[in-house]
Amino acid sequence: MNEQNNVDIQAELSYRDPKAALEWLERAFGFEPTLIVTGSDGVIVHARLEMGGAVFAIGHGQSPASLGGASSQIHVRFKTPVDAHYERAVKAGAKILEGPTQQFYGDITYAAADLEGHVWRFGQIDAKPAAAPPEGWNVNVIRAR
Amino acid sequence: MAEPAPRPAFIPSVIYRDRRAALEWLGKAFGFELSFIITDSNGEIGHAEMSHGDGVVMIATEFADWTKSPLSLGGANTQRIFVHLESGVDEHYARARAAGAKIVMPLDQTFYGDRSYMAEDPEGHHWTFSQTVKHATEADYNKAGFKTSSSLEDKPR
Repeated sequence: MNEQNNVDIQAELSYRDPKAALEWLERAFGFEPTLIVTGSDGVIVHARLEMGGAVFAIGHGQSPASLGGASSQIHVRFKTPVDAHYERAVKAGAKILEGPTQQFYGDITYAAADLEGHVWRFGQIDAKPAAAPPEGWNVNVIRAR
Repeated sequence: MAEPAPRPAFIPSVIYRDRRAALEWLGKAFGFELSFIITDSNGEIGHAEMSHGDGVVMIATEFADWTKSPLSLGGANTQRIFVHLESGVDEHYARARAAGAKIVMPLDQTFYGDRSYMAEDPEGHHWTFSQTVKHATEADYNKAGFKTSSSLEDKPR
């Protein structure tokens, strides 16, 4: 159960209703649960979800909707175009914060808030060759990844 | 030459009011390494990433209405960041404490097989550092009062 896909850093996002979140995250974003941990009162306390190598967890707690903001934004990176993903999210009622946009570094990304306000940025990596950064910007890759 | 790992498919971007201070503190307390940074002609940081093993975390600012540091949320966190350590969680704990991290959960063996601790950084973000020392079984979860399943349709065992 502790096997990870060599993921060293993972987020556990808090939701007030983890069960509703699991259903919504699958319907809107295509994340599938691989482990669901339920307490004796039937409340889901922890669940692990994944899609295409992206792995994260959810837990039970306060979420951005109840707090008025998210203390993180989650980036999920695909090798394939995200158009279909975007359409699916829109259809499921995700709040689109930024429509699909070409970033100067080559990715095409869109940002959306989920049912409890967590912020997600989905993107196709290297969709186009990276253009020059905005004038005056200095890009420094310290460890090639 | 060793081939660098590809960027992970999933990268959390953690929100701070003071990014510069965060970059320094996270390096000192948690051993994260600055791996990617974009600055403008005034030296202002436009984007920054730190890495730990093959994991990557972006260190961001309150760049939009919807992104807030815990400082702006009354200390609340909307997520926890889990960092998995291959080894050395005891040393990691000592280093974090020496750097002044507030310990939310002291280093201990969890029922699910990891030896882990949770710390809070100066802006209130929660970070859990975990080293797997034992592979948990269904029985371990049950003994702790939990049931597991692998989908919503499954009846919890």
